[in-house]
Amino acid sequence: MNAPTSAGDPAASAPRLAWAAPRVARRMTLVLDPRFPGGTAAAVAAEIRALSGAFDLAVVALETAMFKGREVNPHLAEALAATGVDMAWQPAVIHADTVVLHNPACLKFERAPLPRISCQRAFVVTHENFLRPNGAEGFDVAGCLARIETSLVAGRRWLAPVSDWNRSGVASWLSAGIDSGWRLADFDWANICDFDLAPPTATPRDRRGRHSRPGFEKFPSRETMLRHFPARAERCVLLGADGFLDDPEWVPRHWTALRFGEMDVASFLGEIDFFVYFTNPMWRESFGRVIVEAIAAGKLVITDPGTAATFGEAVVASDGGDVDAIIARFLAEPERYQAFVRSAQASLARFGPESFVRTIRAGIERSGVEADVLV
Amino acid sequence: MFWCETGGETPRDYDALALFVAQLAAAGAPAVVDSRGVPDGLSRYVQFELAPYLREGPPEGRDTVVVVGAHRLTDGRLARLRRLAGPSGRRVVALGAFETRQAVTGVKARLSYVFGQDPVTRESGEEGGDWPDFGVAPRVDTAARPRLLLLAPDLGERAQASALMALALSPRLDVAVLTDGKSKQEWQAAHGAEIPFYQFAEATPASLAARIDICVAFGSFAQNPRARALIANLALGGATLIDATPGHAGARASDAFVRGPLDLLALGPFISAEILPNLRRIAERVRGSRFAAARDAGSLLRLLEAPARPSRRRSEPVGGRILFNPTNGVGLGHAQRCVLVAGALASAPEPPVFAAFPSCSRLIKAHGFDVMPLIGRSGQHTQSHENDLANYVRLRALARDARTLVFDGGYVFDSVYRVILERRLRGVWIRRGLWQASQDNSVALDREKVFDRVIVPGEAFEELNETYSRGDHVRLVGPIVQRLTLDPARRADLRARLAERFGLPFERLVVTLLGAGVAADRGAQLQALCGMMERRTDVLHLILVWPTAVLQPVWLGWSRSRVVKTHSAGVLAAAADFCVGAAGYNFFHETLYNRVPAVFVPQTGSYMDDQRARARAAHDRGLAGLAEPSALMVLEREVGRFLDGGAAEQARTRLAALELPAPGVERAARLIEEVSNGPAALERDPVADYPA
Repeated sequence: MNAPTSAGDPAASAPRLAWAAPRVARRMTLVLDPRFPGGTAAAVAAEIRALSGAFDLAVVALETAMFKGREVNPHLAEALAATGVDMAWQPAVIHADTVVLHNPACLKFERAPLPRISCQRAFVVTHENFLRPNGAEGFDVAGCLARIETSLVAGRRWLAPVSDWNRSGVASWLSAGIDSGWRLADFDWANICDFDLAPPTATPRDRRGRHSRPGFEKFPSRETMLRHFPARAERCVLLGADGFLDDPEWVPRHWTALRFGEMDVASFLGEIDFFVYFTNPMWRESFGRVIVEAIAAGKLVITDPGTAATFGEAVVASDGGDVDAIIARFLAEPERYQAFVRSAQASLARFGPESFVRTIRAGIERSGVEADVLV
Repeated sequence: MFWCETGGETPRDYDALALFVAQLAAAGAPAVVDSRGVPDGLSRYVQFELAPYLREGPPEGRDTVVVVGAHRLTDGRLARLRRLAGPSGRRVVALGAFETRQAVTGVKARLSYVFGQDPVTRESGEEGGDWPDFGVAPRVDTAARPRLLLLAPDLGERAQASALMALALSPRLDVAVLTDGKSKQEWQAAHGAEIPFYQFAEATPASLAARIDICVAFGSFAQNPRARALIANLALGGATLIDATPGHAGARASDAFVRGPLDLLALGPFISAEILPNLRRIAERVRGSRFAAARDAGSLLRLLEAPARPSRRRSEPVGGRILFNPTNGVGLGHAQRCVLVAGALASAPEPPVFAAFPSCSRLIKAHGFDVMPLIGRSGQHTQSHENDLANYVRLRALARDARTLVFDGGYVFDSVYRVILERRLRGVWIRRGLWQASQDNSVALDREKVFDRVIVPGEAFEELNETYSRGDHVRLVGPIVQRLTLDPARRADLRARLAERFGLPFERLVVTLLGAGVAADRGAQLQALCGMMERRTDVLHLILVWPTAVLQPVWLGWSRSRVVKTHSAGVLAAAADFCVGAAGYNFFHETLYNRVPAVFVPQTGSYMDDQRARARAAHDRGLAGLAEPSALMVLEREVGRFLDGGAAEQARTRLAALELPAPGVERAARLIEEVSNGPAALERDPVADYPA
């Protein structure tokens, strides 16, 4: 800042004005419920590691009703310990240049008010799709955002999708509602996926499998599952098939059905060559971290076109009716199998931490400030 | 069809589901429940309520799934619901108390994962129940007097209890009480079953509503779905609804209620002065109330896209058929009594039909009646009432076009009780008396309230007739007994044929009917009898058993004794010089009325009638011999006296001179016709009735 002019200076009647240098928005606070399970927690853990080197990072933990009674996710605990980032539990006030609230859907059962949030810009990362494939809301989006709005004082507030599909749902939701002040970020707050890469097998066999949390939304109908995992396959391994195991009549003999967590994911992936992943047609993954994990492990992934869109050429898109034919073609051409998987693995770099930090930093800069400062 | 399901998994959820299905079915919608989704361990009431609606899935293409209490939808239920999903999506309607937008959104999403499409949802409204309250106007019954129901009165105070008893004496009203199980039990333990008490789950609100003209609500019913359903039914039917709750909360919230006194003491005069003269006007006002309009089932049925209800509203059962339902005890006494009475009914376009246990089928068919088999108890059943569940479904189906159900038995089964209520049948209970003093018949007497008439077949000796309940509906008739006339020539012919059949010429024919050993082991007595006969050459000893009896080795291998399986024991007994038998109602009275000397060996099982008293009455009059079941020496002496001591001849002489009450078969038949056809039956064939 320039020094003030003296009173005797002839130029004193014309004050010298100067624009303050642009301030680097370095203070970032992640707001999240650290108890949520699954791939999202692992992604946010990777995000903490990545962002802690680029920002003055703090983490605020919410205690939402949705995850009441659960423990802090171990991935997050490890990331916090490794980076030395403090995590404050439900403080009265959250103040930062940038506040990032992960997964607004975790507020869907919330009745208690959030901490007061004061920031230049707020990003709400929309991990859970706003809309289901049929266009119906996946959760009470307006209710969850309203809960945030009530506690939020921010120059600008953005909804940051995690994938193309997720973005299209947020955009549709925004366009269908009244202007609530939320803007759609022009970049994706993608999941960081930095798995070690394993080479694909040179001799693929018809060993199929899938892995997910056991929710009903993760599985198509039994008929579809039987089509995708038929008795003629050499091996069918289903990890996270709790919903089927709860009703033993629903599990055919040729399936190796395991409960969620019953086998570690690496071992599971070691038992298959094709990761056949279709969710319930009334629901869709917002990102699909399990797919990246499978590709990294050297597996060929077959999934529905909507889910496949996030991964481009890295997966085989299928309407579900030609899974056997796809597998048969790759089995007949093992070289093609290897080439496809290697190419898929190469494309995963865009989900790496470096790419992520670049995207976020640029996005924040583009999001600007409310006003230039004249001193 | 509407496959009804609950979102929760607790017993309370299934209780609510049972209520919903019953109400929906009463509204004319084809409601069913997937039997595979119903867990074990539900209360007996809920099992019975659900039983008629259980179906094996899967649903057909256009069927709809209705989930009540969907706001409590658990993953466990969701997993079960998968069985109802069709390959190409299934229409689902989710009803519940969705307090937040998230609750609705969440339920829609979760159900869509199972059924392939989003459900239609409907909020249950301010009552916060598992579905929007709705009612069904009951079919109008014609009753001699207005029927008053007191809903959840507090009878803890002596003054209120006294007031209820005074009110129940009113000649202008029939009074009943609907309350919780504990209150009912306490009342009946202290005051007996003369005032009909219902507990909430023992009858569906639709069945109950048909039996009520005036309802006085003493307790808040807002939290009780069954009471709410009953009130809704009553409102739609135009019953008088009186609010006697503190602060008249019901009348404040609803325009269907009139304010009434909070005290039972003041209720009688209030109803006499304010209600009874205005019943018709009040009915119009209630039917036209906003409360009734809001509970019209039409709104829900439209949401469900239910087919149009049949326009015909029955005020009477369609058919006029009389359905007989004898239970089987140790023997076939109940069935035998029923066929005698059924045979005495005036011929009707639809002949009587029977529902009976298989052991009775041949007997009933032999009398020319059709019979639907019921299922007996079995050790294979995990619950003691499991057979009755199946019987309930069968009886309910058979009673679809019946007008009257005639039950003969000591214990009124749930199946019988519920079918009378739910099918709106006229109930007749042929209730043989002479219960043992130690027996607890409280359940049976409690259930007497659903019978329009109790016919008590009298005992031959007046001192054996006891009164177990009172009222105009209880009628004593003469002994229901099969009379046989076997003239000397036919008797001699029959005896000759028996001698020829068995290759045993005889001078003395002794017939033994001690039963097949179900109630008690008769082995020692039969062995003693067969041993006695074995020492003689002038006797043919016939051991008579029902055709369904399992033969015991001890009965066989005797040279002077033969086992005969027969339904025609009476004929053989009439041909005998004397009989040895238990003192069951039928056998006892057949020996008296057919003048056959007998030595009685009473059955003394605690669940049986007081055969000892019956046998003693005959013995003390010098009409019969008597031996206690364990007194084998006495039995030998008595049989010896009858064989060689002239006692049989003496008894026969005394029996010939004995004056007995007129048999009651015809009278019982006329009383049933009167109930079934109305008083016009009396005009055709008057019956002199004697209130017990």
